[in-house]
Amino acid sequence: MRLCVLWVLAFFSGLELVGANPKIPDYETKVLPFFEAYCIDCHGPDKDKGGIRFDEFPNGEIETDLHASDLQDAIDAMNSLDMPPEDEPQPTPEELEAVLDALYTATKHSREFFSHSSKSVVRRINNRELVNILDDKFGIKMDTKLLIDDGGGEFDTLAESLPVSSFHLQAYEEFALSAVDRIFTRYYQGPGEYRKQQEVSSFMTEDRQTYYVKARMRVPTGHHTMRLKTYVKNADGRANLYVYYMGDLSENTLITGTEEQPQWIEYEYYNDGGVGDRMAGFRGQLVIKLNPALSYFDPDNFPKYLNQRTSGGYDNSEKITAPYLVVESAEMVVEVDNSKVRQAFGDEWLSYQPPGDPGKYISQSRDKGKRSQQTPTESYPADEMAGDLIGQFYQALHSTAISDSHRDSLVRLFESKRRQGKGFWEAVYLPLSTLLSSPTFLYQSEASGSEGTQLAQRMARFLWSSQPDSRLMELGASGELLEAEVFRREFNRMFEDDEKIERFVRNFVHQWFEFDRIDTIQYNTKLFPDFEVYQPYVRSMKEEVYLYIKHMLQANHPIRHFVDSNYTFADDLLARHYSLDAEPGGLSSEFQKVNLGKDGRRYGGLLSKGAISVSTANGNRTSPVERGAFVLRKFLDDPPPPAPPNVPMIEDATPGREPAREILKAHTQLAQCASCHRKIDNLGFGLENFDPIGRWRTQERRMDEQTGQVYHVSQLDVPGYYGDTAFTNYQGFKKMLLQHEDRMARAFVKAVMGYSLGRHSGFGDTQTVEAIIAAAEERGYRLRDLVYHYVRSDLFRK
Amino acid sequence: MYVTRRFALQSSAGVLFLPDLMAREIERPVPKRAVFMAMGFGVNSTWFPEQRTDDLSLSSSLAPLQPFRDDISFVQNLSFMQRYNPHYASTIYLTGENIYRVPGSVQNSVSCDQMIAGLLADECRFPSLSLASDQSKDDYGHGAGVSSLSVGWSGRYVPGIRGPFSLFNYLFGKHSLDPEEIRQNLENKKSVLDYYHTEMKRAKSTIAASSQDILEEYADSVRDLEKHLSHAIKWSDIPYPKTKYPQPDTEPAATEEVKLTYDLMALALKYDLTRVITYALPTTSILTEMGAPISNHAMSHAPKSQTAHDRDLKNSELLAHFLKNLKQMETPDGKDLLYHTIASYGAGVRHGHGTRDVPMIIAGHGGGDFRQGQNVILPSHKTDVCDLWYTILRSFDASAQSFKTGRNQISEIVA
Repeated sequence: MRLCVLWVLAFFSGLELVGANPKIPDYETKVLPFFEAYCIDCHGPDKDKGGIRFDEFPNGEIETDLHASDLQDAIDAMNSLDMPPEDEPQPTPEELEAVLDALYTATKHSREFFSHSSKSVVRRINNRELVNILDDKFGIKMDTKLLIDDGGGEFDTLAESLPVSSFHLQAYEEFALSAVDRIFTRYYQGPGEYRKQQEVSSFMTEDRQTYYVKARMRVPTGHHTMRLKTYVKNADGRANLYVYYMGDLSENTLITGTEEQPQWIEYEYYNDGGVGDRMAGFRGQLVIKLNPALSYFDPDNFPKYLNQRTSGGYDNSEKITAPYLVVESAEMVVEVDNSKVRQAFGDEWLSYQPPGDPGKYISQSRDKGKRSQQTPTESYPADEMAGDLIGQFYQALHSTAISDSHRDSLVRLFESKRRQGKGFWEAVYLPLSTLLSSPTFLYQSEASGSEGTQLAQRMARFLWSSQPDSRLMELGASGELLEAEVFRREFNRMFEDDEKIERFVRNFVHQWFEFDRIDTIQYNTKLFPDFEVYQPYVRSMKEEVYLYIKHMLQANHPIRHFVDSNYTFADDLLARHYSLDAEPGGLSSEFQKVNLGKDGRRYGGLLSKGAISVSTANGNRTSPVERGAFVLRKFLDDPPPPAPPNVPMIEDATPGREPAREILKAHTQLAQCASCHRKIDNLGFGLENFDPIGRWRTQERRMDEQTGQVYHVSQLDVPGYYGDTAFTNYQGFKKMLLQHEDRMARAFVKAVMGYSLGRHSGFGDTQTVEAIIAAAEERGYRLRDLVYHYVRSDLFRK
Repeated sequence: MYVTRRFALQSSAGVLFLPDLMAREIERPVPKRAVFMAMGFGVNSTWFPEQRTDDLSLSSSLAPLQPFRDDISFVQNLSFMQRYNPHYASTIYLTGENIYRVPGSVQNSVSCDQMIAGLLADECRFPSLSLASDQSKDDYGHGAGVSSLSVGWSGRYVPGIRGPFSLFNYLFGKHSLDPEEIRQNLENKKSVLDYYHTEMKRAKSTIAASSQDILEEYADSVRDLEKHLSHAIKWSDIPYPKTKYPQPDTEPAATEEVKLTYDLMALALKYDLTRVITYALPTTSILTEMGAPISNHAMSHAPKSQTAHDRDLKNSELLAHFLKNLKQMETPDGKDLLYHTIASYGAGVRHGHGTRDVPMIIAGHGGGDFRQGQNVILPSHKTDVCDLWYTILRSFDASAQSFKTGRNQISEIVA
């Protein structure tokens, strides 16, 4: 294996990839004749109109970025019908399409080429990492709502998505102050578990969709669990529900409890205190929505009021014979786990007076009695105390000691507050919180980073979105991590930490597949009545993809499982939605791995996953365009150019009964559109068997927007092609994709690189990418192998 | 009558505050204000009036603006001449920047409103306000990462204040701190800034030479904070105005959110808390509230649909509410706030992917600088939007020679 990698590197350095200018494809045969016929008279040596010339591409070579930008201008001008001018000879549609296609390819390569760089870039930590570090080091879960959203780019790890401005600094300061308070409140609290019983009243809303359970309670800030004692009355049947609580949505839960044996169900919540302080301790309201798709009883027969004890209500539960859901009681549980924060600061501070009232929301604390109210003394003056606390805080954050000068400059902040007559804690909160907005922390740039330490930090940031744990940090500091065997062992260990590796899987996959699109979709509930309540589906569908890819990574499956596999992950909601043949006994609301039979195999692979079908449709109709572009971008490493401005508008006619291909025909009639859409649309048809909510279909149903009438479309258009390979059905589409395992591996590696390097992967990375692909080929491009070869590369390690 | 403490406070504030405001205003001419508003996904195809200068008949989706016909004008044929992703319609709305000029990177530059804000920086408590929607995580059409229409001198978007709840607190002060507390806070901020300076030096020695520019960004931010601080010190003795306007809800419904934001914008102008405002209007939330059957993006490609029409009708009802508010606020010179304001209301796309001939309404007379009640058809359909921004900038800075690529005033609208 090792030899193989070396060979590949040698091979590529012989190729002189760096240095050769990008070329315009088909230059001599198509582009130059086009330029000569339609452009050079005005944009050439004689006239040079607008400072643009089309005679400056020797053999089709693009020599500078300015030349590339001229080509971009040419594309824009032809797209918006500005060029060639109306009174000049016009190209035929075929000529125009071919030239636009060539110029798109040329400008794309030029963008990569002229921006090439083969370094990773320094960036600030993003909001997710900030929150994870505080959780890993101190055990507090902060919410990012107080921070300014990261974003703008493809990944929230790209330097371009992570600006710093004065507004960011102000937000950091405010966030950090609240984090520090949370940390020391936690330090003085617990440990322990606190329960509070809640009285509940419940009723069904007029629309018979929502079943309200109201519990009057003060919701503590921070993490807590809501437990509901519940059962289905008058039936042994099952109810499936999900719960809105404090604006959050829980997972789907199956209720099987009976009156004799009620069932406790649990939901975990985090309350960040809402907007500012106004919402802190706000009364919580629990809203339970029944999931009609899985409820074993008819909502219309549901009683309107159930044991409602509020004034004006009445209890008529005795009169009802139909099955209904009962929530007998609710209980709020707050678990205080302060092991991490105690580890960071030791026990010594317990004998000192705590900040504010640490038992703000909790009535009992085991440590309460032990606390003395010690204050700074002459032998241990306040500024020394502050200095020690700052030192411990820094050590916990960076796993290394603070320098004396750094500590002194922070102590000065403490002293300036003390001079204003502030108490110890209020004064020390200032330097502690300021540390979290310092460049040292934001850019993770403390000085002592040896090669091993830096590798440990880079690995933790990449795979755990956090700082290394102590073991990884120690191996890094001692340099052992640089040994191949140790490194491989630690690499594998990082994938086994289920909770932490999920951060990589969820964040990377969510962003790579652009799942945030799903949250803005509005579903046509006449066509898809199940999606009246779409949230549980959407949640389960995303989960399905995360679990699938996590499994591929942990079991190190080959990349072809992206397209085809005989297993998937499902809960009962999805199993029913996809009509999967579940094993005897059926599935529960817990996800599990499902082995697919022959018929079910269409639900193997990733492209069949509901989340992908849904996010590439609009809730009403599928979009072969979105689907084709998705496959080109994420699977074939052949991304189409971004939506160009001012291409001629195709009026979106209201579709009738014509097949999808008919509707999209307009795309191939205009050269400006055809240059990209011929490729995109023909690929996208391959996924037409999946309807806008992710179910297999053999016929398309549409709704007449005027009359609301639902009808079937004459035929479903699956046939299409990519390159020279045509396909006639989904099976053939998958087969075609499987010819391109290397492209799939390349697309995945480039995305992973974009996620971890802080910049898009570009031309300068070509050698590394190809070496990774070559090294992973023998074993069929196994997913974890691909990541492994990447983190072993110089590009990652720099 | 039982007088509550709250009532007493409000009325005394009213009595104390208003004469003070009047006094300030009578001393010198009424100042000009600039407001910039943009929609995310363009407009429906009936939105534009006929291409005839003598005809300003409003289409049915703009009917609510009928009462303000003498105070508004259409400017047709304005186009964005620089390239940007039309899915991110407000990327360069107020900057007109060629963001792709350096290959492989995206670099924006200062927006028109921030230039005006720079000129007026010392006049008000807030040199400018940049507002965005509470629903900014939606696909709201302005663009990923476009946190408001305003771009600062550093080329980065100014994070917008999101939603009326935050805006209210921002304008009228969250806490009633006593002057000593305010002084102490400012003093602490100063020591924190000193610390940042020391730390930047330290970080400089540990961050690779090739990545030092990232520290420059940090240093810019610290310098900015210093500017804010000295501005805040100047204003620390002047109390926040009191208002009878009720504290808005934290999560208002979509149209309510826009209405409340417009109300607070009018109040901010009235109390002269600021003279420059930008507002990136929400779209997705409005459509959801309407129960629209299709997504924003799909609708942008279907400008002839009834829903697109209805969305614009809703938007113009809301705009009319804002204009009415301004018109009802009298100024000491016997005119009204709308007269002293120049507002623009447009979009970075016409609809679909079109960045040519974008929708644009201007409203208000900018203190007499602008002529209204017209349907202006510019001779070239490639007239640079920067020309409009330049024309507005000129109203605030007679010495300005250009704004980005905009070098010609749009004479039709200049009084």
